[in-house]
Parts: sequence; C-alpha cells; structure tokens
Amino acid sequence: MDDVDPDELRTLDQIRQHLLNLSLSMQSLQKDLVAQEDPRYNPLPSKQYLVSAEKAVKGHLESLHRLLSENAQFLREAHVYPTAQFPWNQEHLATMLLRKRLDPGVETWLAQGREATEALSADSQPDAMDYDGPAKRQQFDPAYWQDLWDFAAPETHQAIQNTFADVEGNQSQPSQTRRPPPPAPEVKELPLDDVLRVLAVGITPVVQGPFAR
Amino acid sequence: MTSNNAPPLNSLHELLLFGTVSATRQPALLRILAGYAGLQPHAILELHAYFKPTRSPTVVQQRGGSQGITGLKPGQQAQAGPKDLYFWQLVRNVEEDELTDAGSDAASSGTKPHKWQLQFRDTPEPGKRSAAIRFAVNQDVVHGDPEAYMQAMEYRYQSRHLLEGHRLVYNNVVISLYRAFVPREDSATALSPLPPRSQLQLLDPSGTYIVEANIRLSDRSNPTIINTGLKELDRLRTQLRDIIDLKVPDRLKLDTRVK
Repeated sequence: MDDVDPDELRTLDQIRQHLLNLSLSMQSLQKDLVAQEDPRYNPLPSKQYLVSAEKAVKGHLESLHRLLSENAQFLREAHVYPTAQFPWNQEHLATMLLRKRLDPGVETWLAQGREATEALSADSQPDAMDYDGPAKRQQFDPAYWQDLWDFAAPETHQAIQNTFADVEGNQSQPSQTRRPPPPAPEVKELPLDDVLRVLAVGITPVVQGPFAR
Repeated sequence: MTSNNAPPLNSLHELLLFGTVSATRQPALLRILAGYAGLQPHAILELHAYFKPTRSPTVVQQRGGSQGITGLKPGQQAQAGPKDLYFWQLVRNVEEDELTDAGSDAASSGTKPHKWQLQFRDTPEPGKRSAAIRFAVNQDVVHGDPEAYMQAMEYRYQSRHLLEGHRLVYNNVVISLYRAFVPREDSATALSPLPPRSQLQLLDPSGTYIVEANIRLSDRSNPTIINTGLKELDRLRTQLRDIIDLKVPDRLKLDTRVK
C-alpha cells in the first residue's frame, strides 16, 4: 500500500540499463562469432577483438552484480503488482510478469548454470541473491550454519556453548547449562479469544442509555 | 496459491491459525521465523477503523399467498433468513512520525492523502478443520473520502485501534506478529489525526503479541488447493511445535456479524 519510492524506481531503471548494456554487448559478440556464409570471410575475429569484447561483457556483468547485491534487500522484498494504469489490452504481459515460477525450460537452464558455477568456484559463499533460500539448499557449509545460529537464536547458542564448555573438561556444575529462568510476567495476559474478538469487531463504546444501539 | 483461472486476488478465502507469544520472547521468535523464511521481516504499523451498520438486520417479508411452493417466478427472491449485517474496516498504513507529539498536530491531513483500504472479513466457516477458513475482501480506496462513502452506505464509525508488529512470508504462509494499541480517548471520526504514542495504551497490558499464520486461497471450490493449504499450515505448526502453539481460533470470536 506504499507509494513508489523514487529511489527504488531509479534502482530498477539502473538495473534495466545495465541489463540492456549487457545484452547488447553479448549480442554483438555473438553476432561476430557466428560463422559467416561467405567462405572467404575469416569466421573468427582477431584475438584482440575477442579480448576486448570479453572485457566489456565482464565489466557489464560486474557492475550488474554490484548493483544487484547493493540492493539485495529491496529486491528480495519487492514484488510486482499491476495498478489501474496498466494497459490492460496487454493482459498477456501482466500474466507473464506476475508468474511466480519461471518457465520450466528457463528453470532447468538456471539450475544448470548454478551447478556449473558451483563446480567452477571452489569456495562457494552463499549468494546474497540466492532467492531459493536456505531451505532448498542441498549442502551447507559449517560457516553458514554458524551464521544462521548467530542470527536466529543467540540465547540458545549461548546455552549450547555453555554445555560444550562443560564437556571440554571444566568441572563445573550441571546447573550452568541451564539458562536463568525468564522473569515472571508481571501482568496477566488477556485470553487470546478476547483479543481476537476486539480485532474482529473493534471496541464497542460505552452504551449511552437503555435504547442506544 | 492459485488455480489457473484465478479471480482477482482482492477477494479470497483465508486459512488461519493463531497463537500468542509473550513480549519477552517475541524478538527471539521473530528472529527464528526470519531464519526459517530466509528474509527480513517487514515492519507493519496499521490503523484499523471499525464501521458498524446503522440499519438493523431486516427480515425478508414474504409477499402474497404462500401457495407458491412449485417455484418462484423470475424476479422474486427466495425466502431468506434475516439478512446479516457485518462490521467493516477501513485500514491504512501509518508512518511512525504521525505518532510523535509534533506529528499529531502537524498537518497529517494536509500533506498527502492517506491510502485507505476497505476490508471485509466474514465469519469463519463452521466445521472441524485443522485451520479456520473465512472469506475476505480487500479493496483499495482509489479516490474520494472513504468515511463519506461508508456513511452513504449507512455505516457509522465506531472505534479504531493501531496494530504494530511485523509480517513475513514463508512459502505460502503470511506470518504476522502484532499487538494492538488503543487511544486513551477516541475521536469521533476515522480520519482525524492520530494521538501521539503517549496517548496510546496497549489493548493487552501484558504486552503479549498475537501470531497469525495466514494462507490465502483464490479458489474456495478447489479441494486440492484447500488441502494443500491445510497441509502447509500443519507442517508449519509442527515445525514451530516447541516454540509456539498455533491453534484454530474460535469461530464465534472472529464473528463480524452485527447482533
């Protein structure tokens, strides 16, 4: 229910620009690499050309990656929805944009790409742009689990550390593994049903008189 | 979750489970849920204004003789029970600086118009299920004065309160953790500026948070979708079994009909 943030709009536009540049440079490289019909024509461009084209593509990829990781949180939380100003004679565009899942062909292609990069890079850090989330990962490295523990439950983590500290030989009493009990709540909580009732119908004002509704 | 020919998603059915968490344990629960979901929770601060119908529920009169058992002539309405009337809500997001002392007298009506949303929540359906199911409509108010509209529909403003908390999405479940604040003295209209935080008190003085797990279904008539949703809520409930107790709410407590 928020207005479109100009910063967010600019981010999206920058991403679009970078993607466009990347796409253009890759297309021109591809065009030059494709063998020409004319046999007299040398199909493979010079090494210098290849090197500079590769540098261009790599530069675009890097800037795009930087842009995406800087705005990772926004992008992760952003979602597409059409407003009333959407040109609805292009309804197919809207349905295409709103799809939560990509085409199966695209998905397999993405999966292949991911496998390829994991095979290439020896130390695979969890990607900031990993939309699949930790739940879908097949392998975790211990550093990642450590981060997750620190993020999710520092008190529990502390208790476990205390436990293992005891196991390591210190002759401390078992009571050290127990966390101190949380302070007793001072005020009794309202029953859930009563709160749900208020959330359903609001608070009835005090009746004015015997005939007021 | 949608079927292929899904209707617009501003009117849909919801599968619901509720739980509570004490104020002391709420930050840990929020972190744990954020860890499960793999994303940061989104802070919510919403104003809910409740509207009550001014008409009393009417009974449909039967006109004419009562020999017409064979069928209804076209145009005649079937004899319905008394038509129920429901509470409606106008909801909008609130900026934190509307709740400062300066914000309440600064032109919160002057700067930019607020974006209201009209919300209707039906009473949950009866029947034993592992979650409550109810029909819900959310309609953005695009243009005009929402309170004048409600008055024209013969609804009167009754009360309002503020919900503050967080919301995050875990697969298909929208998990919200929130608690309600009530103004010490309420205003006569929904649109008047909000009192500052010092004038708001917790509905539940113990500061307990409500946990709501909500799956939205677009197609009530598709049992596969309903079962998938129920299974997902069950899975969530077992996953969080030792952390928080998610239960089916009492449907009469969520009953929005006017008595």
